[in-house]
Amino acid sequence: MRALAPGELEHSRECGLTKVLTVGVDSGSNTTKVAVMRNGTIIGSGVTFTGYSAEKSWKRLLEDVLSDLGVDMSSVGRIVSTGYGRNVVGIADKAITEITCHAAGAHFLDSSIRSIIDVGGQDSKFIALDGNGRVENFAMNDKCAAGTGRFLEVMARALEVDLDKFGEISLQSENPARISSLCTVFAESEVVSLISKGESRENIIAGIHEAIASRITSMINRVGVRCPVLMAGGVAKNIGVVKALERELGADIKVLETAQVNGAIGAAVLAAAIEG
Amino acid sequence: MSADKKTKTGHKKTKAGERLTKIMTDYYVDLHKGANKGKFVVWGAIIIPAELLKGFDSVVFAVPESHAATRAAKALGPMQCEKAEQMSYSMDLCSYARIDIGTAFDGGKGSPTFGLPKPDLLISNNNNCSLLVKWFDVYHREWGTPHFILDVPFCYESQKKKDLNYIIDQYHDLIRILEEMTGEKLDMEKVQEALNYTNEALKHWKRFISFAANRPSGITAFDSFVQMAPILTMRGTPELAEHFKFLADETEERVEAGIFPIPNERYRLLWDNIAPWHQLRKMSSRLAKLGANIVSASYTYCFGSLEGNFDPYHYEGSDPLWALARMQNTTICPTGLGLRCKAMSEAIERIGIDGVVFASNRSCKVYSLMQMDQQKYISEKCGIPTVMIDVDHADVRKYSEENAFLRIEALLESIGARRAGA
Repeated sequence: MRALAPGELEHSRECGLTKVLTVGVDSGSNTTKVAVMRNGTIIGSGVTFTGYSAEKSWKRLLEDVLSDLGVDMSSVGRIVSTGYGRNVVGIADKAITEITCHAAGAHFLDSSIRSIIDVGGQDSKFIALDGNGRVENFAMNDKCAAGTGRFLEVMARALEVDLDKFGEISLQSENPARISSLCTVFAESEVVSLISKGESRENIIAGIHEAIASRITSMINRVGVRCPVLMAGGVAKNIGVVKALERELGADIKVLETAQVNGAIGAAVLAAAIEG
Repeated sequence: MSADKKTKTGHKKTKAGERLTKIMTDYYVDLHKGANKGKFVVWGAIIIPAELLKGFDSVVFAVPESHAATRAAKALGPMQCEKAEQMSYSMDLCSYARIDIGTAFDGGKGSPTFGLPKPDLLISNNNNCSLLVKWFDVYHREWGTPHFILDVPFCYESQKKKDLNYIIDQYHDLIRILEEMTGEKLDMEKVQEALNYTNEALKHWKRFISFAANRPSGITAFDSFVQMAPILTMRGTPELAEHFKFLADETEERVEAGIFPIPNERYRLLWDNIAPWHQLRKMSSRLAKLGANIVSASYTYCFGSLEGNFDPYHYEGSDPLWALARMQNTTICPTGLGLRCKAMSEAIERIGIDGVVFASNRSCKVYSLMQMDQQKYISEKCGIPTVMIDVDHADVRKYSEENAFLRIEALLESIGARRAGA
């Protein structure tokens, strides 16, 4: 990603291109993401917590990202919204599901990608792509928090560990604990029980990651893994989950710096493709 | 054609819709009146041979599954489920069972039909809902009501002669029990007459659901879900045959006049599983805004069709018991995957379906268990996109609208992308 070069926008305007930016807004259950694109390049992005008002969150974030780029809404052309709050982004030209947006984002960033694991705040998805980056099949978790970011949040609270440190801590484990319950509430009880028995944090956290990986792998196997695999969503930042998934799948997983904003990037890419 | 009457939600109600309300109201009133006059009340599973009961003037027939579906469609499902849950019945049991048990042991309170009159005989079968045997057993235990369980062999192919004879033998037992309990002799001519009415009704039902093949479709599956109520409760009656003729005729008139439920139809979908009764209006309206119509459903084309066939079974006046035994092998639940896939592939081809919504139903394991394999088969054989969503047919507490629509909208986007790339 890069910032606009001095005079670049002015030059576009002089050429009659006033609405030169396209925007993707991913209004997720936990976090809101924005990506801004110009001439086929992603030039800015941002992430914030969605909080109580999804509308206020995306508006403030978009203003901040545009401000960092030195522009305002007058430079924005097409907008595509995605995520669970896709229908609250009133100014969007189109609302598109995150399944299609993640596919577009992944294909844009790396056209060799054939499947995506997206683990977000309240759900996890596996998306298989055809050779043209189109969605060929997908699977999602059912009505259960196991295998999602929320599961990790609950466990981090029970263990009194900063969620950002989960990944690194788990890599120090030599003997991951076994977390057998599929229910987040029951799993939390299991973790509390392990703590009381004196099990180390490293082993418990590694066990949590293995439980998540096992759950997600069951979902992936419904569709069938295809390589190369990209991981997107906030949980992709957790190296412990990524490694556990690689072991379960027996395949390497690519994680890009843009993992958390992949859906928003896809939305911006699809916004650029809107005709008229 | 006079102006269509609008419902509270603004949806235009057809004359057949108004007529349905009247005949179902009459049915429940007659059921209670009959019971009050001392008629013999049978509670039965939806696919038991209802026509056989028409051979007894003293018998009235009630269908707990249909009654539970009606409660769910009126947004009364959770209230009645909670009554059963407060009696310690698990929330993981079928929501029809919980609604029915909750209503029955609360004396029909909270039911617009005042529940069902207490049964004199329970008749269940194991070819459609295997839970129903245990569900009816609750009433047998609590009230001491006799319970006749009809055992129907599972089928992977056309019905075997020995299986047919086995079912007929059980019918003879049932007739003997009914004659002993009612003190009335079975009138086989009336059974034959009832079969003829069912046959006529199914002919018009087929005409009605076939308007799904029109472009745009003349119906939505939601209309057909609602119109199924009398198939379950009034088989073997002239009222059913008349009503389905009216329904098919009106639909034909509307199609000829260019009146379609979703005029801007861009996506034609097929639904697999029992109707999501608590979502009918909400789901159809939200789909309509997306230009999508669920035009057909395995749940509606399975009635009257046998062993993986799409067309209904045609009764040609043979031995009524033989015909009623044949009709136990309906297309969906009592059949193996191969037959289910055969019927669905045919529906997809005949109706012109763009995508299939497989609704994994928390309450109905029998319908849902093989959906994953069926989804794979249909995706590969028919080459159309499919999606699996999570529902519960009568308990809205187990349904997430946003979660379901995320998947359905992704299905529509896949259909759109394939068209763009074609």
